[in-house]
Amino acid sequence: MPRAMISKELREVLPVAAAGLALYLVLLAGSMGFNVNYVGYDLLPYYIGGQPRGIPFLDGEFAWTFGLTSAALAIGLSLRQTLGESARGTWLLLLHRAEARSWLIGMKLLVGGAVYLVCAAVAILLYAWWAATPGTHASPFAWWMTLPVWQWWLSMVLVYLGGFLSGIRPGRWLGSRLLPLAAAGVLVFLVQLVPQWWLWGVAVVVLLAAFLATLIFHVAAVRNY
Amino acid sequence: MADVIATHRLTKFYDGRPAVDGLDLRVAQGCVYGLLGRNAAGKSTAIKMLLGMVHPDTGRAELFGEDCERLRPETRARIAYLAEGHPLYRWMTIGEAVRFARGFYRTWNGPLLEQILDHFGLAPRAKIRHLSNGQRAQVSLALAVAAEPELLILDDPTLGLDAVVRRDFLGSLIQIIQRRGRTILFSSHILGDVERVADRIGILVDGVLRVDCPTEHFKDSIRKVVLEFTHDPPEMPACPGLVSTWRVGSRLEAVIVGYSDAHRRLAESLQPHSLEVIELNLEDAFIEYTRGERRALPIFIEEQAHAKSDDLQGVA
Repeated sequence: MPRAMISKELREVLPVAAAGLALYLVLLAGSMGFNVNYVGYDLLPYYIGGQPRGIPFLDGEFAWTFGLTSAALAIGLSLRQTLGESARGTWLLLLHRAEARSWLIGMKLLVGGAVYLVCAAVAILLYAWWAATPGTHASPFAWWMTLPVWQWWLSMVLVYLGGFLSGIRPGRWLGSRLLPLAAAGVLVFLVQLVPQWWLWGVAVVVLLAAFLATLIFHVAAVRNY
Repeated sequence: MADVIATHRLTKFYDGRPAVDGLDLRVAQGCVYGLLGRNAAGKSTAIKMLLGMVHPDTGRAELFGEDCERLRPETRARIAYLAEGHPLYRWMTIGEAVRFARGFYRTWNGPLLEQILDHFGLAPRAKIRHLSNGQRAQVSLALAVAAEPELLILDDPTLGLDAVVRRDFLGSLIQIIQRRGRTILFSSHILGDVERVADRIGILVDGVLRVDCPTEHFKDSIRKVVLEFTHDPPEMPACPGLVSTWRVGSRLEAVIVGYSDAHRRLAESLQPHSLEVIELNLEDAFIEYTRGERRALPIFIEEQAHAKSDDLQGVA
């Protein structure tokens, strides 16, 4: 059972994951000094490249741009998994499988969340691998320097869950439907302010994630399809 | 026989209007039940409530004696559900759809599935997005039957299929019915389909179950009485079983359920020029039963008058 569901979900999110990885690669290429500004679009500095950057990971702009890219991936994945089923009318097919509804939704969350975490982690590790390679840039590198980016990496799980909740929650008005996603976005910024982040910040993220997941299971159980 | 499906005062409101209103439905084991109704009569909502996809505002529904809102996975495994429009994952091939569906069931009749796919000429490597509506319906049916369900619930399974595919689909459905006396509930607004398959019908009108009887009984009990007058026809007096009346020109038509000698005597008391009692096939009976009151359309009368004058000119 899990295999059928995991395989189906992976196939469906594959294009979104590939697009997310491509965005990360452009970001990394720009960060490594390659000129990737093919379209002349310079809203996000780290997507420009073509000039030497500061110390890898410690330049605040990288973490910010990485966070935005991760948010785009998380939103894309969550909406693909929810609105995709709605658009094709396949909720009825899926939810009548011989499994509990909470199990089916839980598998979706596990696959989507795992795909986000793996894609974003791959991007961080690639950049760290480049930064740790001697001769690539004129500054020192230590693994602790990656911590602020890992912080964004973990926090964006809230955006994924907020997007999932927005996607699965019926609502006639787009504003009210997007409310969970907007709230999750605000929470991600607030969570960054928690002191001793790797102790208390992680605990807050886990608690908020559990709360959002509970809401998702509740909405999935009580809504009409 | 035990009831496989049982509902008690099942009601669902949308925007303050009842989509399903106090539905009391019982379907015995082995029965093939055709749920009829016009568009938006409440058929799909009723079926979705049976499967726990829509939550009722009041009332309750049970499948195999289990509350529909809390069906256990083991109970779902005994029920096949074909949703309206035959939703499938279009990016899958038929083979992938089979592997996906098979992953959720302990009982899976692979040889039967292959037979059905072979019968329909469906190759496992065919992409679902490239299939016609009819072929998607066939794939859905094959997947549903392969799990060896005891109960099949089909929501308008022939919707959008052409006449040939529909007949083929129903033929297959009849064969499936004959296997081990499965219980089937299916909705439709194509009456010919129901007539061929169902041994009991229910008719939903504006969310209310107006008819629940054996198919033959419904056909036998409904008649259209046509009264011709030499003058403007009078009103048809109210009487038990009178479904609708329609006056057009000098003709009065009345649709009556449970037509009897008492109805004939009542009609004769209006002193018509002629009186004809017409037996209806299921489709006509359904249309007459669900149409409700019609207003006379003057244009028809004008057209008749024109036609008469044209005829006279032709004779002259």
